[in-house]
Amino acid sequence: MTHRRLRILFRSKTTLAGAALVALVALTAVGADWIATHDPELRQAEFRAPPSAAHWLGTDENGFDVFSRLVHGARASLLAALAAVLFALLLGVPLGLVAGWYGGWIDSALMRCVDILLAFPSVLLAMAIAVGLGGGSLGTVILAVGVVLVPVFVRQVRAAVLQVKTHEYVIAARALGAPDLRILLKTVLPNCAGPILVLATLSTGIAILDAAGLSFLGLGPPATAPEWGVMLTKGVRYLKQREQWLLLPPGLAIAITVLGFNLLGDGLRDAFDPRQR
Amino acid sequence: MTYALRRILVTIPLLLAVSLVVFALVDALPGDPAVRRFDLHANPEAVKAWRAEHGLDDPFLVRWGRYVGGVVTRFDFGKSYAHSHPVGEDLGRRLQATLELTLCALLLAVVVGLGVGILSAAYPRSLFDYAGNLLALGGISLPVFWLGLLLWILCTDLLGFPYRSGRAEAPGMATGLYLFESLFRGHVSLFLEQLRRIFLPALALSTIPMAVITRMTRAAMLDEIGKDYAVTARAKGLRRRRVILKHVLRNALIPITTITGLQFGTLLGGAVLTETIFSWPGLGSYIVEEGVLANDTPVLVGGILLVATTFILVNLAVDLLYSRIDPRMRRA
Amino acid sequence: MRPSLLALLLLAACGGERKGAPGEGGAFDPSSLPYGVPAAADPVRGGTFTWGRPSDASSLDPAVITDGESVMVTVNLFDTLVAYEPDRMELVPSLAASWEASADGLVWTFRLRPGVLFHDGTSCDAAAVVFSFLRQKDRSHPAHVGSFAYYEDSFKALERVEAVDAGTVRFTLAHPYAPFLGNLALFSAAIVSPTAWASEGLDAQGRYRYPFSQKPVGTGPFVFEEWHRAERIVLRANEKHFLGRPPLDRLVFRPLKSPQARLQELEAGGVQGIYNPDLVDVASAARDARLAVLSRPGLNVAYLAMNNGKPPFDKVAVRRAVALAIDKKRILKAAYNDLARVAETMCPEGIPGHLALPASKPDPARARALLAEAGFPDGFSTELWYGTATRPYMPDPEGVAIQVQQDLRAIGIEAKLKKVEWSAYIPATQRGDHPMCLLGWMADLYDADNFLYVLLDKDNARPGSANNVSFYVGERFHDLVTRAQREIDPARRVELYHEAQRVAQEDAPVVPLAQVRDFRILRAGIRGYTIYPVGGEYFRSVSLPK
Repeated sequence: MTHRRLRILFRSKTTLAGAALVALVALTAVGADWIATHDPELRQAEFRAPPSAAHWLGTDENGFDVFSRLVHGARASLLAALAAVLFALLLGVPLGLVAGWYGGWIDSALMRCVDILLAFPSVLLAMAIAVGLGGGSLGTVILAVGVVLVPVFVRQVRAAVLQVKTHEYVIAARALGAPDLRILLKTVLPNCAGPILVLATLSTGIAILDAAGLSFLGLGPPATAPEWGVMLTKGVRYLKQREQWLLLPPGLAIAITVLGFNLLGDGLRDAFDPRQR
Repeated sequence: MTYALRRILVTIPLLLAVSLVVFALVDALPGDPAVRRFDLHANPEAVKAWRAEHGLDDPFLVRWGRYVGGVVTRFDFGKSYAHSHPVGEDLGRRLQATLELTLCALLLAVVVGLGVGILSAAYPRSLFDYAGNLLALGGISLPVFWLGLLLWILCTDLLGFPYRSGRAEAPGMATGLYLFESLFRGHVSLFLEQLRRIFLPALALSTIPMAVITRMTRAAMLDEIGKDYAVTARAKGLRRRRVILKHVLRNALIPITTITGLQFGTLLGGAVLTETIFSWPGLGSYIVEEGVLANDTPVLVGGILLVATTFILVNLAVDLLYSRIDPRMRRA
Repeated sequence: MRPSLLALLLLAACGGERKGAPGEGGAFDPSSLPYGVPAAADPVRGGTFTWGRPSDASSLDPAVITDGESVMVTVNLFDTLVAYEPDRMELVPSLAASWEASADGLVWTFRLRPGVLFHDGTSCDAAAVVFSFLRQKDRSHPAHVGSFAYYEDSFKALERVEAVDAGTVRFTLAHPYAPFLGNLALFSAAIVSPTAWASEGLDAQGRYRYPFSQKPVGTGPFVFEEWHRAERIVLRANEKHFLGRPPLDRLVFRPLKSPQARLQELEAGGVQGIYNPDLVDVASAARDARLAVLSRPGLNVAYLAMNNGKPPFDKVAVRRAVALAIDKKRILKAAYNDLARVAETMCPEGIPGHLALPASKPDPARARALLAEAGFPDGFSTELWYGTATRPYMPDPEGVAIQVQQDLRAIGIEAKLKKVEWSAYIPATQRGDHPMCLLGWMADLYDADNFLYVLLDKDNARPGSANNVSFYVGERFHDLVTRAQREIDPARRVELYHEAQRVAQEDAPVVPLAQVRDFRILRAGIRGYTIYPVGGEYFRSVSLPK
């Protein structure tokens, strides 16, 4: 990233706030073992106890310490989202490059596949995939959310490639007879990096929401796993009994994390905006 | 061939491909549904008859072909594994309930989103603009099911509103869209009753599209405001409000319409999560409660397929509408 | 626009006190709640009563159904020959005015109440009774549509049923069968209208075409009107019922999946009574003046079954170790909100034959010692299966499973939790796929046989259709329980059942966990409803508040 871009990025207060939130959650995820006060999967003495000095956010209906589960949940949720985005990158970027660069029937075929996947509302497709995979683990969630993200990445990368293809130096490189792969990797890809980065950042936020949704429906990790979506599965019950310490923290955690990624993503988008050149 | 015709023809193979994907995904479920389903006192003939009834012994493509044929010609989505009840009937009813909810949510999202977006664009960098922007960002960051729960607490416990879940009995309605039809027919009390039941899930559901439309409207409007024709119009002395509302808005409507159409997909997806919380008897709760949680294959396939098809058709409609609005497209 | 998050957080945090804290000094005592509201002497006539329950019915053919959701509707549409009176659980005449048994207990003759009509106007006579039983017994009967889950268990001993004359029916049994009379009160023994069945002729397979399971016709206090799947089932009063027209005009059943939604609707007045509230909400509902909470000790048992056919649970020492590891009181607190009582035997308290065993105390040290003796000094790994549905005996199966997992972990057994979707769970456990599973049973009849024979006897341990999901094949137990089936003398029967329960405790094929109270919540002022200990919600005497 050029100096100018970095300056634009850090000039915006909201982007900095976003970066700070993301950093906060990431640190929590990394340092979960140290930050958590108890073992998140070990039953404590009291069930459904309100927040106290011993249990900062109280205990849940199984007797687990909520604060510790929240903290470890950062790890699970963040890991799942990043893994899903990585999956989408590893699959989507090459496919997008190929589609955009070679065009022709490969492009048509790929875009038809993309259209089919995009014909489903994303939550629904993720659900269908999770059900098909059998549900019940974080891996299922990662795969389901990842697959749903792939078409968006393919489209975006393809669009970027089509744009870059018209640039003089690319045309020149081709004319000079450079091998395709080299041009793709050395020239085209770096120029697409900006939009890809923006998409990856924003997609992480979406992935967190989708993953939480799948866990909420029971298609994710088991009920004992500390994961934010799982912690909200019995949400309706907490609602009735006014057990706010069970209902609010996981939702807030999700919201704050996703907000961070959104702010960061917005800022990155502004920094890479060609009109700022 | 006109754009419209071409677009419609392309949709058909898309629908077929989608049905194949759904069928394959759900078929991938491990285990034999007959074995899963049968409990005590089942004699082997009953199991065989059940398998035959649901056509489970044929190869995949035959089953898929038969399924698609049935859907297209008779709206026959097979029978549920749990009660051997025709899925098509359930889908029809549930679809109407979901459409009612999503249309309500869309209406809300568009009205508020457009309003806030236009005002934000008209007064950029004002407090209103910043607040609106922040709220919009919040809207797309919240998990919709959590928001629904919070709105529920807020409404019932803190504001004390007598919210009622589910749909009201609506005798004598021709369509399943009780809210709209009762308004159309002038049944005020019925309309109010439906409104009381639908506003909370509709509000929860509308938040993401509302936020997106707000941001999109603002961005599109600001984009247009900076363009030559707008600046010229102002320079010529036309009043600002007139410029914004008459000229800028009209041009900005093109991207806004596209986004709105896409938001329908978000609404359908969000409905899946919201309906379960609010006990709204729509497609979403049908798919989740009777399809996913009960592992009932025909319900799952039928439900997902119907939602996807609805989404595709809405996108098609938006595309066709888009081609009418945008004169550049019409000539293509 | 949406309220800001921060404001919401503050509001929500300040705005609520915690309602009904569980186990807070045992403030709430469910045994103080009444189990019924007597019928009004001069009931309010008319109106609609809506009953909220978790799911929709699956079918309204009384002989085919096995789920409580369908049963609670059919018991209002149909009558049986005899019925249980709710307070003392005595059998009283219903469609049968009187009966007598032969000395050897093999021939039972019933004289029917004269003048009873089906909802379609036809007469309920001996031919109808014979039809209702033969269609379940005879595979080739044109009304033998579907499978009759209860028939095998309850009427296996029935050899012949015939109409002596228009008002008399004779049943002949193959051998004396003590539960026979009680079985006639089962919802599956309801008398159905042969005329309705035959009204649309036969199909190609020789079965009646009439969709009886969706358009039922019986003699009951309510007549079927309509069924909007997943939304409501509507019944209307039967003007000509032999016990008189019920006070209500209409009876509606509404499925509301989550217990919170049910309670919400009750509070808002959308329904007038709910079934199976969330145990967590009971205490706060009891303090709400708009509502009336009813409770009765349930005739049910929730238990942890070990598959005795799969090692290491084929060893008695291992099973006893598991029994010693489980802290039942803690499970009650976590997953039952302390609204259940500990079960030490599979036959619940309240059923004649129940044996009051001394309370078990968890002893992890001894459990570990037993495991070591059995050859597992470091414990072992296994799986604990549980179903997704909330059942009255186990409203929170996941909660129970998590507590059991923790208890087992403390003695070195690592039990991986496996959640199985309900409709697949029953067949899977009946096949014996599981190493350990959580299950329970609710009384169909007021008889120990319904628990001990059905759940633990080796006759019911046939893989594929087993209700005995522990696959316990104890010979001594089997001998005792089958002898009790044929024993006519009640005192002797009780002795046999006591002995059987002692044997079961020693062999420890299962770990009984809890016996849950039944709860219902009504709008205050509703009259004429009683909780029946054995299945079924009866609304014949219900009237609305003044």
